[in-house]
Amino acid sequence: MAPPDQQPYDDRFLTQYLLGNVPTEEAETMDILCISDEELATRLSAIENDLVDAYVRGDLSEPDLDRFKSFYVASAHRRHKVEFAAALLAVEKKRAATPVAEPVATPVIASPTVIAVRAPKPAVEPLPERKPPPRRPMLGWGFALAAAAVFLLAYVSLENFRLRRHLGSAEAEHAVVDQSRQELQKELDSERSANAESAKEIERLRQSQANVEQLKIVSVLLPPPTRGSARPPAIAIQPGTDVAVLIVVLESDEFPQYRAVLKDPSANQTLWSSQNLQSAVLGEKKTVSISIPTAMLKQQNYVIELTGLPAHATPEIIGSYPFHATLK
Amino acid sequence: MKQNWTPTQETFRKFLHWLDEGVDSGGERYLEMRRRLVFYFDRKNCLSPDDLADETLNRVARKLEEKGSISGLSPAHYCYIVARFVFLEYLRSEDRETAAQELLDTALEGNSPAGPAFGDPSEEQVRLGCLEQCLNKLEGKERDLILEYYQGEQRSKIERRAQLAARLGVSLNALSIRACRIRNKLEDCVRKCLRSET
Repeated sequence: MAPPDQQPYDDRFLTQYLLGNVPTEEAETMDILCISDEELATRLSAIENDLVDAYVRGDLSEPDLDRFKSFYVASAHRRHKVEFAAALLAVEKKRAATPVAEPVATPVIASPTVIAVRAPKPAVEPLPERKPPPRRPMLGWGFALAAAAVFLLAYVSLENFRLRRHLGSAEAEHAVVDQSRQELQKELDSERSANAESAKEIERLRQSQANVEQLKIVSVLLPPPTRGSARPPAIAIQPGTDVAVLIVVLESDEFPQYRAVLKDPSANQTLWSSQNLQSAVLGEKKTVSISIPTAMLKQQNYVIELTGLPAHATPEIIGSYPFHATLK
Repeated sequence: MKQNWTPTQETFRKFLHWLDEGVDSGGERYLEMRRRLVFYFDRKNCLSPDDLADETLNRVARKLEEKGSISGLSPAHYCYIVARFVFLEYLRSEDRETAAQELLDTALEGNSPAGPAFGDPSEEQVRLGCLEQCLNKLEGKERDLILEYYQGEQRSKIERRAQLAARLGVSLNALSIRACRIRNKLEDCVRKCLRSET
């Protein structure tokens, strides 16, 4: 089960790590990587979700189930994950039972005051059907009126209780809406700041355009990352070369912009970060070209970590592209 | 173990910028790092993984403020080193024995062989209500994605996910990352909702 050197950890190994079922030394290594290795941390999180889902669905094998019960659920934090997975499964079953029900958007709450003056309609949660009282001619109207009064009193109390609940949840939702508004404002501010940065970068590029033609360039094509121990592509840098152009082949081109980071995999250290980049077509492939000053490179292995930058969402790491630099 | 230092707004802003490594994530990197640290301390069976994660991030922010910059190590690697110190201090803390006893109690309490239902039925109803509420706060396409990505039995999931990735025009890897992020967001939302309900 131990992973061979320099090879990615397989899903089975990561599952066993989550179940506390790997030797201490390997677990220590994994502990480091879970914090410092972006890709592995994300993968582990995905595997953990699947593991927990498999448990609540009863899909775990016998040995894994035993470890799950004896190790995984021993922490409150992990129990929360199990409870969440159970709730997610319940939602799935509920939705499967009522396939026509479209998810309803959260209603916008104007203010608690507005809610308070709205007359609650019995249609929201109808009261139990009223049965006519048995006919007793001797008791007459007196009893009927008394029964109606009691019923009315109960109805008013119930509606009063509902109103209080509505008011409470409206206040809570109002706070959430307010928080969302503040977050949106924060996003807008950071967007503006990013735009200003882009404008500066364009200006810098314009200024440096004149010198580009005099540069000595070497380039290499980096295919999409694959698992396994395939030797990384090599780039040979001759003396006097100014720029190494790494042409990264994309699996799919779904982002308007990209950002590349050069990393030293042995120290997991970020050495350089690109400005925002755009994809281009090369033959039938979509690619992103990354220009790195050769002065940054030594004779060793490197990794380019490519991040997709959506227009209005969180950046997503697309993949890591290893390569080897050789100085001639 | 908690220290009485809290970052100023400016310190915190600088800290977020440093964590972002030049790619503005709008605070996402901070949340992601905190999640990883909670995972780390939780896996080490610490009693309050959330508190220890916050302590770690506080110390890193403080160090950054004192030194002006931290070079030579990636932010993630640096956070790991500080986390390790925080963990060692936790082990050495005076109330270690008490902590260990509490940990044992928690473990025994939580080690229910009955299955996934740990809470009582009313708690489950509240949780379900929170989840529905949080699902409705997601964007429509995010909600559809997470419900489709995680539905079905283990065996049928692989095929379903491949179809979903093809339909969205993304790789399986990218789809997995996206689904995972949405789920984390949803879990955080449910946790906050539960706190407000109790």
